[in-house]
Amino acid sequence: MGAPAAPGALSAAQAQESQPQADPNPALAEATARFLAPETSIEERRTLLETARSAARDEREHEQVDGLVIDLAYSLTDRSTPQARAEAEQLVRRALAPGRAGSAARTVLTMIAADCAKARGALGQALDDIALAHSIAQALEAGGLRNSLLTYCTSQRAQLEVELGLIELAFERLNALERAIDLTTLDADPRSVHRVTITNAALAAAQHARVLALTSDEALADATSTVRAQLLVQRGIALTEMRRDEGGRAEPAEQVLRAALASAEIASTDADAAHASLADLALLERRWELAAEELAHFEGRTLPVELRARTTALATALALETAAPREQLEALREELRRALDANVEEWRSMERRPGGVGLWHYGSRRAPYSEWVRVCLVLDGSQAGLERALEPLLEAQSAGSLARALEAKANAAQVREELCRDGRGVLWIVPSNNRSHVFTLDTAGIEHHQAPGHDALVRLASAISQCAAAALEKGIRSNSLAQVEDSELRRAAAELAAALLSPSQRAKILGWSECLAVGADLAGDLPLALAVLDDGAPLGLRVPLVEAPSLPIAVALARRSRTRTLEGELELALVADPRLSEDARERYPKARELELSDAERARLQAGFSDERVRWFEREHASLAALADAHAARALVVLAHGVFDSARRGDGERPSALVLSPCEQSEDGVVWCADVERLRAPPLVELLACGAARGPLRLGDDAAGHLVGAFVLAGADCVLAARVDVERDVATRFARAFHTSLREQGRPSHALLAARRALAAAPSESDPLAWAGLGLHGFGGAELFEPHEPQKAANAATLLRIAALALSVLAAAAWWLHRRRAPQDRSQ
Amino acid sequence: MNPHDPEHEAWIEAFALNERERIPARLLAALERCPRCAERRSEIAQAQRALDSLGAEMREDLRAAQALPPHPDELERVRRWAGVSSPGSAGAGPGRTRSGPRPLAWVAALAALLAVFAAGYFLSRSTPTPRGDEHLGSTRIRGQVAVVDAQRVVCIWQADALGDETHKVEVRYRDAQGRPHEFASDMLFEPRWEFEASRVAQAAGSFEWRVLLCSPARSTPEASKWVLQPLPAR
Repeated sequence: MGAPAAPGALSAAQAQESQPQADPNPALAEATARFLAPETSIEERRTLLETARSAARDEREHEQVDGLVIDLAYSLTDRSTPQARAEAEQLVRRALAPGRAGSAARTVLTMIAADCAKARGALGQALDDIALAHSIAQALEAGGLRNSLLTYCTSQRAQLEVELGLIELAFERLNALERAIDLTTLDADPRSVHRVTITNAALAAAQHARVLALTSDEALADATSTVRAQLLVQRGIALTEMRRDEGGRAEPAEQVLRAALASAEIASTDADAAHASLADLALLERRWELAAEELAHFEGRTLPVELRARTTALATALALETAAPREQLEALREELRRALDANVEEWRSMERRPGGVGLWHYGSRRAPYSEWVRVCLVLDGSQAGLERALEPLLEAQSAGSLARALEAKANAAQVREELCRDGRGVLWIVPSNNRSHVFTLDTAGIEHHQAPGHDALVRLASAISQCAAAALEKGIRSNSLAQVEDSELRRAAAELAAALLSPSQRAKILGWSECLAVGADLAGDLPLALAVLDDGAPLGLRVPLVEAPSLPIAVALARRSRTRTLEGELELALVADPRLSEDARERYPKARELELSDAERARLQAGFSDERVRWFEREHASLAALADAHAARALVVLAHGVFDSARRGDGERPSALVLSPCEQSEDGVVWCADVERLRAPPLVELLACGAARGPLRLGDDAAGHLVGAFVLAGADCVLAARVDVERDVATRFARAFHTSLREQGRPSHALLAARRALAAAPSESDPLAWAGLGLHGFGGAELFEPHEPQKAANAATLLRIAALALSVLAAAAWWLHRRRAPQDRSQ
Repeated sequence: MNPHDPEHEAWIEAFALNERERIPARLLAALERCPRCAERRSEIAQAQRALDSLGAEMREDLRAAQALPPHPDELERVRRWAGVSSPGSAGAGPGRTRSGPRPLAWVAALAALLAVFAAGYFLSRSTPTPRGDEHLGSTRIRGQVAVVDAQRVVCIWQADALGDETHKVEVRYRDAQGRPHEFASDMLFEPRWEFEASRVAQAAGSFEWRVLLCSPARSTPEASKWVLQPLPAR
């Protein structure tokens, strides 16, 4: 969907009109008049601008020249070529030379600079420019113009965030603007820009009903014809998605999109979006001729990278549906490959954001990959064809923020070599609009299954969640789904597995020594651990199940773990029971001191001898302790985890751990950015609520939460939960996990043991709590040499033995007494 | 109204053992006011006193047993300890008779057994029992308030929600016949929801409501606790 219109209200002519008339400057006036004449070419304007610039004598006249720069820059950016944009950026940046006073024109110039920076992928620069524009506007005299400029700046930044998949940030910004400014007092243009932006955000968040409300007849009546067309396209897209997801009718969507196209004032980007949506709708309705007609609008044109990938994918889908000849499919496959390569190149050229970006947020970005897999497999269903199908998907994953930070890249052969050893297998889920692709990779080869689309998978996952909640309400206290006979919950879990995997894949997975799953986060966080693959227990209780942010990252972590030298005496570093700062107490009233009991401490340390463990407790359980723990093989943190949407550490990642205050962290709240500066041990266990919870960043790995931060800090594997964790569950989980880890050596196997132990003695308040904590990264490395289990006797056991011995003794005494008594009597 | 909330159960033990720092502050006062919890505390204290007295008795008897002269034959030692003379030593001791084991010795043995089992119990009991739903986090939904008048019910809450998260309210109640009823709001963009009071049967006397925070990133919403809301007389 196109961006909102630029602040056209501040053209050069208006800037000129707004200037009070002082001493006349004939040279400037003449240059300006000729510049603004409609017949003047861009080349002539360049020269006239230089003339005007030389003629300007004071700040007021320089502002007038700024207006001309704005006009020329807009003319250049309208050309949409990289060269024209580069020239426009150079022009405005020259005009923005420091030392000039803030003005409305300078605000607009800075916004144009931001647009140009964004177009060349310099996101950091673009965001800085927008922030600068915002601050210039804020310093202006209060009034309608200032409010309009603030609205433009906010909308521009929010639109950039929408395009990057940072949807929640866009909403927050727009909502804050609504609270600060009475939008009804603004001119129609800035008001429309705000409306278009918030509608784009709602579209991105799949809030289709909200889009319909925002593009109501009343809103349409209020808009100019260009904005009206834009709002109609947004409405049409929402209706198309409703047709796809909820089985609605196609006619309303088609009517609205046609109405938008009928407008003479429709912007070219909006017209393209309307034609692409109509083609999509026609494919959904199996109206092949109509789809071909709509796609014909794009033929022979040079399209922006994303639109090119989308339209090529639609053409490929049409060719596949109409059983086009092999030659045509081969040509489309090549065209699609080129489009996907350009896509990845563009993604890679973007600057990395601390919390990642949502590259795969939009269905229209995922669909080309889906059609690529389809056409590859139709043309060549062999193992070679499957490997070929995986390549662009792996390249797309390597463009993620975390993958780029780790310089992680991998092809299908490397994935199998690194990740499918020792009986291990990979389950890769690639959800898309109309269908999902599910791959299993192991030593036997690659297998593919076409599963339902993204929204259908989300519905299946939601059904499990609802059934689990209902089961909990009804008081089911089963130790695993397997023993919840014929329940809705079990049915929902089996339904998910049946939809997601072919029978052959299900059998394969259950035979693996370990399952590395990728892509569950792309469909509402699929609860794979709960999926019931056969008549037995859920997957999470059958096979060690580890989730990886992406396959290139998993390969990089597997390599890193293999080359790591495990030395040193320290095996376990335990950071637990922090003392909270006053500030943290105030901010997070539910977080409080844990006051660990001896038994809880014993649970956390289970399996490890005292001399191999270092405790950082109470006031020592701080960020400094995390830094000191790098020499250990595993770091365990037992503390409160918070999701602070109001105070994000670096503005983007709300996940944090509440530890004791220290020099490096005065309030004790440890954010992702703090973690990234540490050196983490190979295994990190975060026994805290929601450590793997982040904002929605589809396709950008784990960049948005603490798991990604610890992986960047050096961990190969992180134990964390996306949900809340009960204290009792955490320590019991740790006992089983550590006992098994010390005996078997591998985190993945310890995970299975811990889940089984917890499922066998479930939490009273949540019988499915065993599925809450999961491993992220690569969990197959041997961190400890396996050894026979030690039967450590604790004091309670010793006393039980003593009691038994006493009982036997007492019984013997009584028996002897009984035996002696008759003899005594007989004497 | 019964002040003994099921939530108290998880904390009675800590309350009885006076481990007040373990009990959430919000519950402490309620536990102290609750007659059932007070009764349980007194029962546990009584049992502990009885156990202490048995322990003292046991220690006394053990001291007495240790005072017996050593003997190479362990069986003989047991017999002596139990107060039974061996055939060869009949009448050896001035105070010894063949009237059978001293009742005190049996009581001592029993007390020793009891003490050992009790110690074992208390040691294993120090393993923390599930403490209700004590979480390692901090909820994002708080300040749930419902305002009820004859026509409308207005639910208001606070939530540290991300911009793309939406809210949903669920309401449940049981009617006069005990039949369960429930209904929910649509997707909400503000932490506020209003519904007609007539949607809850007046005879129910009260209803419960909770807030769900729905994220597009997760299929499982974050849910608040159920809040009980009495209905005023209409």
